[in-house]
Amino acid sequence: MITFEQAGFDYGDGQILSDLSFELAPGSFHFLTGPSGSGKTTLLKLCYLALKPTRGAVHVFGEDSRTADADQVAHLRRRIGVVHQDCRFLDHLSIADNIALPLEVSGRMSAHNLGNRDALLDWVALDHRAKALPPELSGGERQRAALARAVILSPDILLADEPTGNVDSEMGERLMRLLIELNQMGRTILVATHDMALIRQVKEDVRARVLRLVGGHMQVAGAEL
Amino acid sequence: MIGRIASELTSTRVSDRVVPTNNRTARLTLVASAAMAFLAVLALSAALAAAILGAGWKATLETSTTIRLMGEGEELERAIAVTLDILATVPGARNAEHLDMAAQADLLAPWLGAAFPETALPPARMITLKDEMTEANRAALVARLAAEVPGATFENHGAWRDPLIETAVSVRNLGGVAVALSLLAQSVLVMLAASAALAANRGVIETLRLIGATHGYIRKAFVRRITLRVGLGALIGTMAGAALLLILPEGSVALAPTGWGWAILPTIPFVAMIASFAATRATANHMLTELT
Ligand SMILES: Nc1ncnc2c1ncn2[C@@H]1O[C@H](COP(=O)(O)OP(=O)(O)OP(=O)(O)O)[C@@H](O)[C@H]1O
Ligand SMILES: [Mg+2]
Repeated sequence: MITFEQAGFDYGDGQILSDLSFELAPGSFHFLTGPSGSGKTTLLKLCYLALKPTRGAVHVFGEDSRTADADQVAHLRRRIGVVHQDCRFLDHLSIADNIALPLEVSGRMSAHNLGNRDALLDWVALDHRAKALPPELSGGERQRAALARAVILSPDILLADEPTGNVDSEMGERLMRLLIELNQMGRTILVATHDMALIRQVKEDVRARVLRLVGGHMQVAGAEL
Repeated sequence: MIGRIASELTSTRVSDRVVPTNNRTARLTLVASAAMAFLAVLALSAALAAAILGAGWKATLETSTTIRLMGEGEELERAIAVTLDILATVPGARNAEHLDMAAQADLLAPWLGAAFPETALPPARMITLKDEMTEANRAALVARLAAEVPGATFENHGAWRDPLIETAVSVRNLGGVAVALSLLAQSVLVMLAASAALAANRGVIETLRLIGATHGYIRKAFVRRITLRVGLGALIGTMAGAALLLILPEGSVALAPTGWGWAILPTIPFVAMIASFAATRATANHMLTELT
């Protein structure tokens, strides 16, 4: 689904990532770990084409990210759900509208799909907060809403950047259960986190592999948990 | 062009909501557009009034000419008759009319006072005419008068008339310049407002892009919102300007346009919308290519 081939990246002032080679196979579940500042968010951005590798190549659904034009990028992104580290909502729209936004921008707004949205609100236990504006939500509620938005287009791949960053361990585990549920439905999942305790908590329930970034390199590429 | 504008302005309900409605730049855009339209109305009607005034002046000045006859008694009466006969044969010398003593006194009354005795007037008479003669005919007329009517002076008032005609023409041109400047200022302002609105919503644009919106979708949402807002502002400003013209007291110079003049006013919101459409599209394209 996503392949890194000796990919490297720097923001212009020194190498952040170098010589990364790995593949996210269909239906796989990966954790991406590493200390703060090691480049986890940067690697995810390479996956959803917000950045292009400065060395090597990243292929997304077979498409070379360096040559994809603006419209191709838009269409590829509709197949990749992303839970951003800072959630990224439109603060003037309600939670329900924010979750439906990917439907709107991809022209798939329909009564049926709005039914799906309501089911998703139930799934992440936010049905009672549907009309609230994003700034009115707690950290955990925002993370769950971001997850609901990330999956509304039934993407093939789900990327989550510290989805449990702002929540206590109980809520963190609940969020992880939701991700595992999605994986069991066949989705490819990549979760960036530095919370090793969380990984240990769920390791019984999912066949996950770990990608560990240290000093810009993949220290452990795809070790089984 | 119109078709493209129409297609980018059609509502999809979606684009109505993704662009925030209630921020400072949005209100500023509306107010600025209204103010510029208001000024454009005033400039436009002033230009129209100046054009009408200038054209009127020019027409009157260009055609009025007098022939002054000096003399006394019988001799003078004969000179008048001969001059009128000659004028009747010259093409382009129209409405030749002899001002008799009474008419001449009336003409001079404002300066000399009504009680001024007729007999105290200089022994001169005036023939007025509308001068639409060709140069050759005018020269021939002057030559004939010199030969046949001693004491006749042909005055075409060139010395004081030409500068006045020039003034009338430049008054008209100035009005046009004022309108052009006002429309230019309106367009520039609309462009600045469009850029400001887009810059203020950079975060929204980035987020839309991240969840899979195409450049076209984002551009359309913003072009539609900003163009409609500018159009609404310009409409309000134009109506306010028109209302002001209507309640203006009727002075010696009518500033309010007449007849077809009013039909020009609705072009102001359209010009504003076209400027806004072009500016927002260009700015949005520029911003979107900067983002990935
Ligand atoms: N836009 C940018 N321009 C320049 N440097 C950047 C930019 N974004 C990130 N960096 C730098 O790149 C490095 C990796 O950042 P990144 O956000 O990928 O780390 P991370 O592993 O996600 O960290 P965290 O766990 O704190 O989220 C950091 O040193 C960061 O300062
Ligand atoms: Mg990060």
